[in-house]
Amino acid sequence: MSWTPPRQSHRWPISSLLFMALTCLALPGPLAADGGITRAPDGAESVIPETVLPETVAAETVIAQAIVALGGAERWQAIDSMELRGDYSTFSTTYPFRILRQRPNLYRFEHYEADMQVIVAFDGSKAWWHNQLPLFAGVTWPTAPAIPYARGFEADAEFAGWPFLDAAERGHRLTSLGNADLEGIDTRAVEIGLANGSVETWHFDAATSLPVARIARAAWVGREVESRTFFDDYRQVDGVLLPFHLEIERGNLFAEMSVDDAVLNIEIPADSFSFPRPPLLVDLENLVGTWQVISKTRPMPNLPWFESPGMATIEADFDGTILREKLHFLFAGRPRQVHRTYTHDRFTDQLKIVHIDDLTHHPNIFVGAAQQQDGAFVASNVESGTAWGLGGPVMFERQTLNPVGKNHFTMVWEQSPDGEHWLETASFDYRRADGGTSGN
Amino acid sequence: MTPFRYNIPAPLTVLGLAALLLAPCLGAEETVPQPHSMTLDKASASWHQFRGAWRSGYATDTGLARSWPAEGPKVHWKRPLGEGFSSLSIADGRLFTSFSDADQEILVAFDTTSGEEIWRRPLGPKFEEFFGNGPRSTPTVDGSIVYALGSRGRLLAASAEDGSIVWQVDLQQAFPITQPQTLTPVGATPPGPQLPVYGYAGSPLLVDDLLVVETGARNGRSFAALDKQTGDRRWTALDTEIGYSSPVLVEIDGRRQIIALPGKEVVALSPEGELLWRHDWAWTTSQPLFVPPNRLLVSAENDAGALMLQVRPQGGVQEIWRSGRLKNAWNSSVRVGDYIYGFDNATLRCLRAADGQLMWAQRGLGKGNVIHADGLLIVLTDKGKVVIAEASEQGFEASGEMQALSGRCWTPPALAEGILYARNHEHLIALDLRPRAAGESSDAEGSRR
Repeated sequence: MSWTPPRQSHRWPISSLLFMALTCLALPGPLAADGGITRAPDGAESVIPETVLPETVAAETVIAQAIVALGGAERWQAIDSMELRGDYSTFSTTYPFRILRQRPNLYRFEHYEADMQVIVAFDGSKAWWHNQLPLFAGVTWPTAPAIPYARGFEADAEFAGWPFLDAAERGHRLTSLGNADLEGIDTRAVEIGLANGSVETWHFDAATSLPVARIARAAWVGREVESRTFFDDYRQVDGVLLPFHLEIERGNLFAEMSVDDAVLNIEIPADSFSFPRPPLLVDLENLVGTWQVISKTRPMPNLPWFESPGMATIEADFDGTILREKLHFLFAGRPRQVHRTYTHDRFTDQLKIVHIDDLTHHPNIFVGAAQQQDGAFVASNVESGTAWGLGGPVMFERQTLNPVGKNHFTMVWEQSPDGEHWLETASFDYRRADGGTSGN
Repeated sequence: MTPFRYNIPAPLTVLGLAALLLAPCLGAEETVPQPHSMTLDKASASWHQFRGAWRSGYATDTGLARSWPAEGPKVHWKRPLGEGFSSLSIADGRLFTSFSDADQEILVAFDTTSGEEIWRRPLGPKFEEFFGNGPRSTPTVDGSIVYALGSRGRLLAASAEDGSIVWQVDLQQAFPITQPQTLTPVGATPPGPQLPVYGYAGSPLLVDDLLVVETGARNGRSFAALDKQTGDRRWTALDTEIGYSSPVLVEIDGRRQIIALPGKEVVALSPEGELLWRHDWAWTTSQPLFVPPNRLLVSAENDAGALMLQVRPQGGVQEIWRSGRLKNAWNSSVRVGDYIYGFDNATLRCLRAADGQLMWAQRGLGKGNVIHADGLLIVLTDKGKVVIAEASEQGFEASGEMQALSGRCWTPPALAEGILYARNHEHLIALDLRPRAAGESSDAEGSRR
């Protein structure tokens, strides 16, 4: 018979059932659950662990034994980063995956779900994901996940996925839950209260001390559900043991991860973990700073140009998703203020500038394509519907950011009655006032 | 490096001895299911509808091979098939299912002996959806007529002989869904009659001279019984959000009841369309499972778990037990004797029907559909592997496996006259589960891959 047994075969002989029943009768408290059964009509019950045996070992001892089994604290301390590659299956389809980890808790997980690529990451302080699935973010650009998901990703970001490695230093709380029978596996269970408030139950094999399961609550499609992760197929990599096979049951999701390759202490580019800025704003990143501005303006087309000094500050918010500019200058000898935001409209893939000044008090929206061939960014309000109506005729406006260097750029304002013939009305010469960097 | 393996705790000798003495009290294994209280006689107990004669995942076949050789059972035939989750119905040497091509859904009949297509009939425009395209509903066969429901609501009664149309009803037009559904996808709600988010998925149920379908329309028209000969409306009932499982006909205390899972509840209708009882439950795509003489198991994914109900003779139901250990998704459980076997996400579990006691758990199969016959559990995993094991509350000991299909295999298989039929979005395969004659190879002549 050629049958290859599945990875586990968990079953309870009658003797075990009887023993479980006796044990459950003897042990009060929430861990003496009778096989996940409740007879009360309402409420979801805790389903893990199955039953508890009398012997208990201190949580710190369980964790210490686990770390020894995994290769020892000294070897683990010598590991600063890792990259895992292999196959990841969800929705019954299999694709390659890659995980990047760096101490203390930087994390990036690239995989596919339902034939769509998903990136989940934690930058050390906050989570982001790139998830096009309609059940989740449903958009084609990176976003911050809802708080319950973010909390889960932060937990996933614990180095090697194991919060017990440096539990005390990371502010996690350990509580022994005693010995347990996890569906046929004799384990020691430890509750880990993460510093972010999440609570997980970890099961360590009583014989090998290796982690075999992680049970947690996790966000899943608009609800919080039980999430069970099982670890097996441990293999040695540079003196430490890593699980090369994981199964995850989360709500109705089943995911299976098979590691093909694990590399430790790999050089990982720093921006692997940080929120990806919108591409158009990456091109404008040099705008951030404090600038001395020379403005050249004229109140009417046939009047002479008026030149005066000004000042501008431009800041980035939301991980570079928005640039906010405050510009002060003199217009025909009178102080003027302009506030502008620069964003990348992902739906139209265009630069969008929202311009409000203290003269019109009107949000004027300029929309433009990506960087022009000559390096300029050109945006107009011809299509945005915000052009100023002069008591009837509409006067369109256009703004052009000329090559944005590290320490210098220019901006030109123009007006047009028809969107085709443009007349320059103002120009601004920005020179960095905050020290800047070498180069242009 | 030796791969890590789980340790299974050794039985405790003393307690094991005590348990042996007590074993008779716990109930002996019963591999042959008790007869269901149904009107079908054994002669008609084929797999003529979704999940078999009683919609319970049970086939009356006997004499199946108890184990398989390394290469698995003989491939009776294999042929291409289009997208869809529609399962297979078998009657009188013909297999009926539906699939979609590039533009439309199609009801099709195949010869069970050769796998040759006999006829096909359009079933409506193609349905596309995130989890997979194509029809969901399984045809129901009643002698010379096959009833099929397309994802967009086209209900067809066709001649089983040649596919000619006997009658047809457009459920979207006859019973429009005018209220927003709970599970409306992100985006604007389309005006006018709506399509169920996952398409019309329930399989038509025969009740005497009636064909019962779930319409999802509101205001007393969520379920409809049509004259099976003419398609004329006989009765309508209930005001419930459309579900994605199929109604089941059971008989409890001498009274026949149509059990269905619309929206987030369990309901029972009489064959005349009268509401007998209803009980709050969870949204699910799995099937209610009749546990004779008077119990019903329902199960749902996420944290809902399983609920065993007992139908009271005087009306209404009583909750017997709940369990977080059995969370059926698109797969439904089966009952073999006194035990329930079913998938809890990707863990196959055995629970004692009487009280929900967990008997064993088996991972390593992924998600899957389980059916049973001849005391065997037959599992089709979500990645196309077929695995058999004796149904036993003592544990899951696989005695054969075969990678029959690949890709996403979420459709329950069918079993009739010793042949197991399974499909995915590309192929339909027939496996001969009967013991092989000496020298037979696993690959039958004429397979069309």
